[in-house]
Amino acid sequence: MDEDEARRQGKDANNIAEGFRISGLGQLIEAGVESDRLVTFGA
Amino acid sequence: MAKRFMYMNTKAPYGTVYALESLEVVLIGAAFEQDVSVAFIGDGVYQLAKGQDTKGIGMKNFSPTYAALGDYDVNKIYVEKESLEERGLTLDDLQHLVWEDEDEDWAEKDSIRLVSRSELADVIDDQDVVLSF
Amino acid sequence: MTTLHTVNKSPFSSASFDDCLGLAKSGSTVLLFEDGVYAATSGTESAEAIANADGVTFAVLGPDAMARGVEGKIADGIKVVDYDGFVDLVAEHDKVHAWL
Repeated sequence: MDEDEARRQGKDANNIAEGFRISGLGQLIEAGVESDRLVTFGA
Repeated sequence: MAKRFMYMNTKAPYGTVYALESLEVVLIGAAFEQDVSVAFIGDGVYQLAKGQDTKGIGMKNFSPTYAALGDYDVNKIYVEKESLEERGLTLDDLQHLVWEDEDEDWAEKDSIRLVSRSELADVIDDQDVVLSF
Repeated sequence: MTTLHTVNKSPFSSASFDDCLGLAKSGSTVLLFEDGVYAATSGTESAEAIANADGVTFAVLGPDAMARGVEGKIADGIKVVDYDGFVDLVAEHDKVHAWL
């Protein structure tokens, strides 16, 4: 089964708290590990 | 089963946030125990230039972090030969990155692999996931 | 492994298109979308590079070309796809390499 996961990569450097940013990036990698296909969009 | 993840760097440091963000993703990704490679092409090769001193511009010099990649089991670092040549650079202009091979009594080895564009294309072809910044 | 490359920047303002072409292997596809559609317009050096790229297939995202008023200027040999076509391309290739 083909699972497309699109991930929007936030390009703003004004991320508020370190905690939030780390979880966002962790999710990106997890998506890469777990999906069949990973599509990312960014500026 | 570990997937082959490649993180590709194409932009110069400090002018945009890509270089720093990419490094952060690599470090965070190291916790996921996949088979990681990092590539530097185009202006990305400038990220590894030695002697970065950012005091005058009020930004954090994050270049020492590349030296820590070996400790995170990131030891396949590809630098594209053509990109260096176009920019009048040689390996000597870049930081000397190493890792310690626990299978060989912690012998210190070079992490940087200088490759041609076509060799790099083959390496990328083999990856399961590519994240390009 | 087959790769779908995506390029979202104009070849006139960014090195992404050139970097992508340099590393795209025969058998891969390059999808030009957002500002990347300009690379597909005829009469440009990028369109020439596209014509000379043996073994690499090129596609352009129609809605982005239309938004920019260049849908009528797409060079020959470049297929125009819609969003469904984008998804099909993703499914048809083993991995996606998004160039920023």
